[in-house]
Amino acid sequence: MTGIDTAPPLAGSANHPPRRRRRLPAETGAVIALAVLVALLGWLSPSFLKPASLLSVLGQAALPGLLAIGIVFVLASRQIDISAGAVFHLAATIAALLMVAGTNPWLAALAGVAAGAGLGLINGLLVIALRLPALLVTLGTWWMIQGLSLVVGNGQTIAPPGLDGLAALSGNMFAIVPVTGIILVVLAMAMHVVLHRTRFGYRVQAVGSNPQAAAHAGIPTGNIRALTLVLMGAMAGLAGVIHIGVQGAVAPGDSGTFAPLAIAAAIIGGTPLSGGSGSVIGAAIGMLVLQTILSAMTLLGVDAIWAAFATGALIVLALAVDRLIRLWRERRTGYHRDDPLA
Amino acid sequence: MAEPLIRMQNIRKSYGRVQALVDANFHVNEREIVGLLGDNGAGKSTLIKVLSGAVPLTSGDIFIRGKKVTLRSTSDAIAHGIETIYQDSALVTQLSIARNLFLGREPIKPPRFLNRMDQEAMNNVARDLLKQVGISKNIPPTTPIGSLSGGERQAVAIARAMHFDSDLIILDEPTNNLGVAETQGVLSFVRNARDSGHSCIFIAHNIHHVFQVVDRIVVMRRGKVVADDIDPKTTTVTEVERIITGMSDKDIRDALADGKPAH
Repeated sequence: MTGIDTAPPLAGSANHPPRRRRRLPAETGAVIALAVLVALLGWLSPSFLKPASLLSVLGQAALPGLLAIGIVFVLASRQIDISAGAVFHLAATIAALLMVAGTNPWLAALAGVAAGAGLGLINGLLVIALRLPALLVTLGTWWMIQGLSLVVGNGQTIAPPGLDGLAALSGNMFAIVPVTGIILVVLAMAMHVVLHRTRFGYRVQAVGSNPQAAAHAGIPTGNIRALTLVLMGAMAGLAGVIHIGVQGAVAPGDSGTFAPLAIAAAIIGGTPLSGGSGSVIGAAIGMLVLQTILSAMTLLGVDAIWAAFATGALIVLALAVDRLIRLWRERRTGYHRDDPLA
Repeated sequence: MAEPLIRMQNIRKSYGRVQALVDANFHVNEREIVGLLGDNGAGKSTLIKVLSGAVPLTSGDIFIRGKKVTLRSTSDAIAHGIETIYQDSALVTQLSIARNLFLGREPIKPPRFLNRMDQEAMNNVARDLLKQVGISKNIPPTTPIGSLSGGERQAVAIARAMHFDSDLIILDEPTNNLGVAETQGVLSFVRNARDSGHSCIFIAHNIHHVFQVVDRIVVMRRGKVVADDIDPKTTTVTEVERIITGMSDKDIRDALADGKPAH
């Protein structure tokens, strides 16, 4: 709201910026980062540039990437969900147990997705009923869901005997393109359209940008917030089910880093923590950036003891570069966002 | 006498022990701009919040054209033709003019289940509306609200209320933080709205702005409506100021002595 007032005087009259400049798309930073990383890694280790290894990065990005798609909607509505990784695990565990019990794998998969959506709904209902920020609600449910996963799975790896067609998820299309990668690309594009072209997506952004104005305009802000959490849960459930198809099993500890990875990917992809906007395609590209960093660790033979630290450091670096580019752009255009975190 | 557009009768609203509204009676006629005045804590904003469905009333009745209504939520009030324009929170700065005009009432393209917005229709209506309220000067409807001036933002908010045929437009401090020319612009939008058949409630701290535009002034003090038929043509600003603060100098001294607003 103070956007105009805080603009430097050189930006023209108090009322209008001199020219409405076309702004770079939100995904610019992530695309540049990805290009630089791939080039750097290809230079250090030329075998990385082979289509097969590039596409395997896409495959690794697929599952956490699905979570990143969901988190974009949550962030765009000015919330955050840190329980997504646990939802992934519980949904996978439920689906695997159903398969072990003899349920048709596809039906079990559907139940896993539904379980994810249901857990998201519980998060959403708690947010509405207690009027608590999603951060606090999901902080609690994260532990609960994680615990529940251990209880139902008995702390063991669950490997269903027959996967049927679900096993095809571990395969490739056209010999080298991982099926999971294709799922990520298709869903990212579809959900991008949902965020930017549908009434639901638009209301998500309105709620995240100015919750009061949205409420005054008669938008049911609580329902919209809850729906983003349901969507997040469904995406985590879907990823969990696909995980079973790919790995053939779910082990305790799978998905451990997925929630922070998904949030980092969304932010690198141009979705601000302060809500109001988001880029689903950006989040998918952001996940590719993170997975490229992770592959670099193995490829360059970084000692396993240091790999986690180095990955974290590179994520901070990626965020810092992204932030600096943004600051520089804002100075150039004289355009400031309402929120210092934007 | 014809039934007024809005009649609020014996409205009480308490927040815990604090009585924000004490048997307030208030009405707005058709095609009328009512100026609502009162000191901080007099109950203006609570009265408006009750009428816009933002807070529930403790007791009392609201009639629209003689029919009793219950306003449980903002959407209830909007459905009854009551649109409130809050100074800071009417618009979403990150979204375009067109999207703001249709905030909460976005049109959907034919296969309805796909839930796609009809952006072309939104842009076309927005272009027309911008021309109508007189801020067309080459501002495309896709411009984000954040790059408009305060007066232009008010114009967009008023245009929205007019387009959706609200019977009553409530303007909360529409001229705050505006320059002289912009203020005149906003005042003329308000007159336009009245002339095209809408009623308005105009709340402003600047009594001079109120005097320039309203047909009738209502004054609130300590949760009550203390005067509801002040004609701005035959009353002076000083007289109204005395009604706002309390009639005698002694009252003013007392108020300064306890220094406590009503809530």
